[in-house]
Amino acid sequence: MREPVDEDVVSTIERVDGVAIVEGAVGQLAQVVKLEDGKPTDAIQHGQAPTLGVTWGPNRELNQAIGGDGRPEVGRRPTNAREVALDEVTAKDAGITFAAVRRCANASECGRARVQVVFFGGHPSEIFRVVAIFQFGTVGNLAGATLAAFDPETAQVMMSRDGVFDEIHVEATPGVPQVKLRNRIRGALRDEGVTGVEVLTGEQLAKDQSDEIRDNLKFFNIFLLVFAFIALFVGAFIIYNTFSIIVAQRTNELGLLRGLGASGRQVMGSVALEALVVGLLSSLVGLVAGVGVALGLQELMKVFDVQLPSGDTVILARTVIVSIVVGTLVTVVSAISPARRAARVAPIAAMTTDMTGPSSGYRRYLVGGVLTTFGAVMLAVGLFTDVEGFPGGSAALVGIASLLVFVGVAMLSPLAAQPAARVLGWFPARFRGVAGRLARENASRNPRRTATTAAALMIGIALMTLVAILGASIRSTLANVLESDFKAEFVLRTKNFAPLSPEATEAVRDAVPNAKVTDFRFGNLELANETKAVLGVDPNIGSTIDVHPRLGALEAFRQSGGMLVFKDAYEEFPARQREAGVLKVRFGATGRQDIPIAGVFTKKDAIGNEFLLAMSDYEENFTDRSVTFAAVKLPAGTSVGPAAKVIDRALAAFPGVLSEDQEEFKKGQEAQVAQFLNLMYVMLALAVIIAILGIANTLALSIYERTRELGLLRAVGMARKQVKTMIRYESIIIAVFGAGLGILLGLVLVRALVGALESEGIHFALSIGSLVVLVLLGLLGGWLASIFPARRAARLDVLQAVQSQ
Amino acid sequence: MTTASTRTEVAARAAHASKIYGAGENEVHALDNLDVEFERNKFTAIMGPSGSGKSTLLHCLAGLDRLTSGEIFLGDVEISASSEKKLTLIRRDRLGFVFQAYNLIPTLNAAENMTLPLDLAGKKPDPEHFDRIVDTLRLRDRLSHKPSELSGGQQQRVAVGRALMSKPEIIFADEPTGNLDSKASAEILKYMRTAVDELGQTIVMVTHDPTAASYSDRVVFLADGRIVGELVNPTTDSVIDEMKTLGE
Ligand SMILES: Nc1ncnc2c1ncn2[C@@H]1O[C@H](COP(=O)(O)OP(=O)(O)OP(=O)(O)O)[C@@H](O)[C@H]1O
Ligand SMILES: [Mg+2]
Repeated sequence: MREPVDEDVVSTIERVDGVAIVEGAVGQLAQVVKLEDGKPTDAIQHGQAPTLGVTWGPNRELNQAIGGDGRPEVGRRPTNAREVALDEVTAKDAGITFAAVRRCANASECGRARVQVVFFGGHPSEIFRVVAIFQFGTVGNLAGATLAAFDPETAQVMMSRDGVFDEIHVEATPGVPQVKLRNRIRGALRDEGVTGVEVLTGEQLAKDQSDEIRDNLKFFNIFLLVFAFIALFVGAFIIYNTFSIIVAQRTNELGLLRGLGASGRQVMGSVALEALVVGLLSSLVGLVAGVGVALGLQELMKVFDVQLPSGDTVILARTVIVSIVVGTLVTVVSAISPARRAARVAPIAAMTTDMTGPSSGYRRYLVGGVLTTFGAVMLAVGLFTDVEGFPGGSAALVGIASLLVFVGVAMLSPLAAQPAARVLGWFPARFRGVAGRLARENASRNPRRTATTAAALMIGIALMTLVAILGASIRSTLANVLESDFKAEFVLRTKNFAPLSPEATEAVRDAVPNAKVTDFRFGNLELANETKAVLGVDPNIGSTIDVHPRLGALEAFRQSGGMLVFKDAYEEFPARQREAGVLKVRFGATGRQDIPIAGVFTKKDAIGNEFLLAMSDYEENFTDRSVTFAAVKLPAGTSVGPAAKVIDRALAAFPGVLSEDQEEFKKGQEAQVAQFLNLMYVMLALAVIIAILGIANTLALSIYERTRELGLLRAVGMARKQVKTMIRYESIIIAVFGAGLGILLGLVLVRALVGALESEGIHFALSIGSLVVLVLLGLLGGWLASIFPARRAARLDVLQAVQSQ
Repeated sequence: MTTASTRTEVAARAAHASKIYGAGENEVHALDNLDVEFERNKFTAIMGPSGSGKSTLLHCLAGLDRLTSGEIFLGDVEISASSEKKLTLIRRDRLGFVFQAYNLIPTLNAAENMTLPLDLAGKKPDPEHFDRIVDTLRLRDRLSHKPSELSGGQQQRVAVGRALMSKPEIIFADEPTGNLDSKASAEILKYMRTAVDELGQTIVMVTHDPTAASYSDRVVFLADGRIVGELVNPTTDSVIDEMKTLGE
């Protein structure tokens, strides 16, 4: 929480020995709006990236952000209250050419070189002449952020920083080390009694910033790694299955080896070595493909004009080594159990021709059962208790627990494979004649193979079920909340859910004078040494949103301000504070404060916050004036339609700000949820695709194993089409079995998860539609998986096939 | 030659049939401009030394393989000119097969294996016919058994049952008793004989066994892809004698 610094500090610093230049700087939100014929049209923003307003002072050395060296591409520094400079991309989006800017800067013929800038601190928006276009650092603009630069005094006025700066930049005289100067400045500030000012060296600041970026990226990295891990996990199932099948198919050969005197260890070693070689080669191929995809994606982003800091794709030695080691290791580990099975092949096996795999022993089911139970218990612990001390926290615990459950269920699944295949196979057997019947028989003849193949798909579908049902629960909760607790007819927000200017809500207040408009402003405070989110709200909140206050709470809130506290949080306060009715908190700007507790509210579903601060108190303790969102309640008897038009007209001057009725607001919220869900689906699709490849792989191996049988079927008159039908339905049975298991498992997991989220106000809701879609996805997956194997089976040379051994 | 038959009494025939494997130095004439006819409602045995082209001939007759040159007729249909799709239908509806071993689909029980070609055609077996075959082959109490639960002899009986079930125009059997002991062999051969005599079937069987050949109406001898001899109403001894003559 950094708060502004008094501008007098500048002169204090100027007097410090070793200081060459000092300059105050402002950095706040400022929304650039394109003008057409003097009318605001488009609010310029790229995705969720911030829209920033900054200062461009006279000292070139201190403006590294601008053009990297303080020099614009075209034009000159803004020097008065009517001038602004824009970054290159923003200028282009605003339809402003270099030539226009040059004329404006040099000859004051500004014509179309104008934009409107909306501020968020309370100052009305204004139209500025664009006198310069610059690059943000060394790129056009950074990660999509838009930048409007003003001269320092103008910036202070426009961005409500009267008498203060957000930062003060200091340049040392040559020869004075940064650290030394920092210490001197700290000393000088202490001597003057200035507190609450942080003094950082440029190096430290750069490090802090890059740390912050790294932290932000870390989340993204973890997010990606989780999905990479899921893909690997699914891949491991398929490798395990493939080696199991190969070992089973080679039983004769391996038996012969044993018969010729090879030890069990040697046989096992040969399989392990094979896994090693295969793993190594595939990892190399995967690595090359991965780098290819990364490069392709970057090109794609360029094509779609996604703004990224231009940098070459970095291929770290670490990435290469980790990829290959992990890929190889996963392959070898997955092959260990089949290799051990190979070692146990008896020499006599060379003589028998029975190719069906060994029947699953009790041990497997026992281990599976134990793993499932253990995983389930761990899951419950992770979800419903506060785990402390577990590395990675409850998220990691839940992740590992789910993993155990997946493995456990996969081990148990052969138990269900046969009955499930019989039930699912009823449809093809009934409607697809003997080909369908054979499909059913083939799917159930080797339950372990079917189950392991299906298990890979189970994982992907289980996670998709989880996401889908979680989404449905959130959506239904949202709908309920809107219906029951949302009294307001309209919500004011920006297109990108970025904050809006208080000017905009003011305009709505003026346009519909009798309406109740509640502003919501976001902030952080410290309570018992913990940072808590707080919402600054207008005291009329009772008219727009029902937070289910306890008796008298709203009355007190309206009359004397203070804090409305959610019941759970209230219960946790020390009894002394509760009795005194006063909350001891710390604000960034104003330090320790006693805030009176106005009352308790019991439902936070609509606002998602536990602390509601009366706006008057908010304004006393926060400098930020931007509005997170606002709610509008029309006076009784006003019809919504005309009011909507009035509000829209009032907001015409604020492009990017929307007024939504309940239905639209709900849609917007749902779209946000959907966007997130879609991202998850895309990531999980990877796991599903791998699983589908796994099914295709198993089918191909099975077909190879059954060549003779296929030849025989063809010889006695099975048509190619029937062969395809047979393989297709076998594949579909396996896939739907996997999808079904996945849905069941996913439902159990999501029920537990939503149960744990109950306190966050999310309630379980089933979406049958999503489940049907997932079953269909399984069906489609099975069909896709069968295409190549079926084609291959149908094309077998009949004579060669019947004569094969 | 005793084949004074008219065209309609010929179930299958090969004309100028040649099958060449490989090329140049390695060229093998598995069938060498061979002509042969198989009469309807007769049990014909094909004999000859190993590599003489017996299996090749059978495969080409059955539409499982194609000639290099020449023609194969099944009744009036020239199958050597038929498409793969059509051949599949011919195999399903008009031909029966018995191989030396692994004749059955392991996931289907005996009854299902027997009705497989009919099922593939989407037809229902004629219950009377079915019962008759099952009883003749003494498979009544084995109908619901999977092949893995049947002895080799029983498996071959099921295979014969399958071949008979669709009342095909002709049944091809390649050493159907090759893997069986003499008792089981005798049973199988007896059933095949019965099928010809009582059901009016036509059977062409490849065999190495003079005793097996003695069950047939006629034995055709092959060597180097050509017909080199023939015996009508053979006995074990006459077959052995003929083999000796040819062997010299
Ligand atoms: N696919 C093939 N490629 C090359 N040569 C082949 C092929 N199939 C058969 N032959 C050759 O054709 C000749 C006839 O083979 P065929 O299998 O018909 O003999 P056969 O009379 O059935 O012998 P057997 O009594 O041993 O079964 C043999 O010389 C054999 O080597
Ligand atoms: Mg042969």
